[in-house]
Amino acid sequence: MKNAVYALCTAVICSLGLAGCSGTYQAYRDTLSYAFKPPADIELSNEQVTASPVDLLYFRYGEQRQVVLALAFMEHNQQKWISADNAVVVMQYGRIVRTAGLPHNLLFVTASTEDPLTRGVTSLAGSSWQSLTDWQQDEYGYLVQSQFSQPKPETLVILDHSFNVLKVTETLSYKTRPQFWRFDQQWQNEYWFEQSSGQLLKSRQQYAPFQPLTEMVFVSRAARLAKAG
Amino acid sequence: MRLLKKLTLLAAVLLTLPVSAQVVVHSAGQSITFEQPVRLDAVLAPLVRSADIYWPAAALYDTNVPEAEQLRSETLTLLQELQQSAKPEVQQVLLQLASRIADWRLARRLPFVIDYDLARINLAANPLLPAGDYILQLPRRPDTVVLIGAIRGGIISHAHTPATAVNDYLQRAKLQSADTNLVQLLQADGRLVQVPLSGASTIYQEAQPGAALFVPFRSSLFSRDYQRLNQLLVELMQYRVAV
Repeated sequence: MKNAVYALCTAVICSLGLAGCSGTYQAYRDTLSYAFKPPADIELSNEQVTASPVDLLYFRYGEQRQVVLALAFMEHNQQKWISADNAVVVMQYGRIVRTAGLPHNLLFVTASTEDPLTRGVTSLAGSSWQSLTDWQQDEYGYLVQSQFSQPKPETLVILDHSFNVLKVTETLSYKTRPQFWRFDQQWQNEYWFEQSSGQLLKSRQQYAPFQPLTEMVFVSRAARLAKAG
Repeated sequence: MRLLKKLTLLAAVLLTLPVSAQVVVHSAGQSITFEQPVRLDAVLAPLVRSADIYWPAAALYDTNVPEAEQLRSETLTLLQELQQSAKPEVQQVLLQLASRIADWRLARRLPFVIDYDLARINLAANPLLPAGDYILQLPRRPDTVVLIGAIRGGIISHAHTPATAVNDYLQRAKLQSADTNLVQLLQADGRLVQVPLSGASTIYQEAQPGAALFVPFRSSLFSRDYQRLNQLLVELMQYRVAV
């Protein structure tokens, strides 16, 4: 009898211990499954995009999965896109000019001359621009100079619709003497403009050479253009 | 007569109640009054009129800070005492520091990020301001860095230079009696960063546009007065409302 009670107590204690561990174990399991199989990209159907009351944007930050941002505010010539986890990406004529809530943020862009992107795709070839940028990593006033390439015709498929686009490459380089030895003094941003309307449909940008590449697809804009014809 | 007394008392209570719940915000020469506690986004809504605001330097200060006045008084007293025995070069700097500090506007910077975009989408970034009197600063990108302490002039504004280490700001301004082993950098976003500038521990650190850089006075083995002055100045600097 004494042995039976002892065995019962041991079983209860062990099962309580296992139950206590199960939360931790589950967390480890989840972490491992994310590491080996990251969550899939978010893809929307044409119907979902068209039904949305606000403009949507596919957004990929570095190696992370593609998420959807919603256009929350349009003010002072800026578009402000927000994510479900409260990040903000501020764009001016398609260029990222500020971010908030990301792991590393672009704080400010100062430019003394007009960004060539404001003039549209037909005037971009050969344009140059320079700006001072402040980054969250305590780097302030870094002079970045850029040069736009000749637009090249391409085809781009968004939401199963094929678009004739003009691709423009912007080559950017640091002009400020870097404080640390860097191999990434130069990088490229890419823009895809729909040919007939001149609207920006897709862009790949790095707002600093040491930042992850950001890819954006303007899906609501694409849906409207596809519907128009 | 008793009824009149009661009515007067009631009127007095009614008149004082709304005042005590008011939130008054002063910004760029105008004052806005809210009759009750208000969220940050509602305060910012009428004041954000351009895309030129430099959000890292945006700040909200509570003006009800008796402890800051106490600190200022203690600092001014110590500055005056130290002037009696200081070398002529240092004496002049202590005098200049006292004169400038007496004019500082002091308030307590509230420890949260001021960002209109984040405030509008995230409740955690949109605090409720209790009744009180506040100063809100929404500056354009500042173009200076303020140097304070053991430097020629006591307190000077230096043009912010792109991609420049804090050490470069000190080279021409620091006094012989400056202790540059560890300077204190108050970034425009409110972070206080300790910057070692001597020996193997030297680090590369840039000042944010609008930052304040405190250069300590070298303290003596025989007197802790300058050590105390350094502590007071670093504390007081954090109450300074940047103009």
